[in-house]
Amino acid sequence: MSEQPVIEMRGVAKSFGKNHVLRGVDLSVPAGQTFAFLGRNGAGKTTTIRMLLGLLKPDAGQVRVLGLDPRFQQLEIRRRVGYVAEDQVMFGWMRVKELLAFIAPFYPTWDAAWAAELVNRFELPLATRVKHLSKGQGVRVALLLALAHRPELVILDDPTLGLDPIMRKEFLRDLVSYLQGEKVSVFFSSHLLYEVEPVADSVVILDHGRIIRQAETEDLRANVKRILAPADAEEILRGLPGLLDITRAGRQVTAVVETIAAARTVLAAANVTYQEIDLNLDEIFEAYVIGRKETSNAQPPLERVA
Amino acid sequence: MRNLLWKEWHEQSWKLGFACIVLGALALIGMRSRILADQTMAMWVCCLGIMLLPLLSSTGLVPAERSEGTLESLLVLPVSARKILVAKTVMGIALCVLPMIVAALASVLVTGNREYPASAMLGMYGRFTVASLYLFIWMLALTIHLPSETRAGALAMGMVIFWGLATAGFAEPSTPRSLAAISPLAPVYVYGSAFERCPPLVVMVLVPAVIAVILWNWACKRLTNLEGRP
Amino acid sequence: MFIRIETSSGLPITRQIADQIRSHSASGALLPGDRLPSVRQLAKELAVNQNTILRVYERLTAEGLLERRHGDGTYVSNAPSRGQAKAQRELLIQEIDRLGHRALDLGVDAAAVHKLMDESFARIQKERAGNRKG
Repeated sequence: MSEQPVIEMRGVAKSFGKNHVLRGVDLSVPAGQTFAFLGRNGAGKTTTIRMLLGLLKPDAGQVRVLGLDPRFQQLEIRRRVGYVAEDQVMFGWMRVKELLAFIAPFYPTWDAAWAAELVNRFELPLATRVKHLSKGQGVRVALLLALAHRPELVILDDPTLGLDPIMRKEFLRDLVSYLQGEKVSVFFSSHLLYEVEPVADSVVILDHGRIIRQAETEDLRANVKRILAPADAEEILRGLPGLLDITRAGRQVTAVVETIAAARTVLAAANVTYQEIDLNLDEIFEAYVIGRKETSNAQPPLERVA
Repeated sequence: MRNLLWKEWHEQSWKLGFACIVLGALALIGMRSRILADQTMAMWVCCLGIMLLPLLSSTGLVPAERSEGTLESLLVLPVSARKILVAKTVMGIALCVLPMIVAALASVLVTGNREYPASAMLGMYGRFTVASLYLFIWMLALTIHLPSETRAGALAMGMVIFWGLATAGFAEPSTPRSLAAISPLAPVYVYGSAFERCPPLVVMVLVPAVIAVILWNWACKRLTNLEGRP
Repeated sequence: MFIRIETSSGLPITRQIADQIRSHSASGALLPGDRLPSVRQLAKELAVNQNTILRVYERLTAEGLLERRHGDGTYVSNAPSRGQAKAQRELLIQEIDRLGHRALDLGVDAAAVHKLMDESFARIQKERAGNRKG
């Protein structure tokens, strides 16, 4: 397995008229991992993915997928990459078996036996027209098309959009068994963090056109924590390294820090009694994306009722 | 390529059948009823053909897919935009040519040589077919970026009217004859009708063909235009 | 072996799974010599990254709770080693620290906590004896 990163972006910028969607994106995705690409709606996730596939050209910067440049070698890239689009509209009039027969010739590495096995495992009705499939089956067809040619990298753009919770769990299960099992690199964009977390090795957060954090999920969980301390420690908390968010809460003040170890040293030296609170990925994401570094009152000040 | 052609055929073949039946029936019934002179009847059928066929095919090939959302599914595949457009163009050409052949055969079979020589009638159908092919390329190139069939249809209709009027304008004595060659409708007007001193055949054939090739290549680039949707 | 993952919990998923396996082993739901599901199987069942499951198994193997038999899978080890007892102790200490914090927050002193602990133990042992009979 090559050690070359499967995706590399350096200083990538893209604007649509006055809308500066991407303002300098730096990203490096190593091979063999499941990588979660997180961001709010409209943060630029789909634009980034379109650039990886060569559907859009960047205004500035460099993009490399599997070492190739999507501006000039997009066909080669697409042959080696599986892609599941958000809310994919496929050719509704085709029957499932016709769709497979239509898509197969585009990929020299198409494995017909593997495709047939996936049809069985996904329980897809071959004779049914695509427009008559249920949403869950439609997503499974899309996943099948992305897997059948044995790609090295699979790019998923919010694939669980519109699926009910049970179908979403099934999709993630499929992802875990069929992709992670085969040591395929996965690049998975989503805004449902609680779903992404159990499945992702690493996460990268895109906000306002830039990557604001890239880390392994475990590291992120271990290092980004919330601190709860009495209000008189506010000054000290405000000066903590890697501060993401600080809020006053009545007689207490709470802050979220990037590296708890560094914070612990400062707090110990200042002799502050504090409580550490573990955060889930949703809360970590929130801290990065809408965290306020200047204190504001989260709740109105408590009034003394004599 | 074969699978792309198969797809286009499946999607557009109903239009082909429809157009063949309409034009064929019109030619048949029109010629048999003899409400008009044979030559005039044939011209009306040809006019209907040239107004209907390029529009029907060009708007249905790309703008329809774009509005449906399936164009993106195609563009994401490891196939060049050029190949996709070739398959669509082949289907478009079939759609412009085959119904005219059907109408031409129907006309000649009914009228024989009674009023108008069969060879001349076939020649008329032929010229109109060539013109509709050129018109098809023009329409394809100019509507390829549009996301809706209706808008594309409107633009295409406008194009027919524009070129019809423009080419008629070329008949003015003051305009240089060679200018007429750029019009896609040139084969219709310039040959056969009382159009004195028409430019040499080479010019009339090559110039629109070159323009068509340039337009088609330009269309290839614009096929992949997704810029409008962030 | 029943494992439940709370995706929105503050506890990391590796912690959640490891804790539950440990408590199953302590409660007798998992007996020494039992074979655990393979990494792939458990990952698929829980819809969790395979590396996460791998990490849990590795951690518990290092503690001595589990042992990997080459080519055969992962099993609950037959003899709970010292390392495992130590790890379980450490878990307990963390829980007790948390309890201590709570007690201080609520203004309950150490003596009162001891008393409450004794009462709790008595109650729990009675419950467990009752369950076993039933």
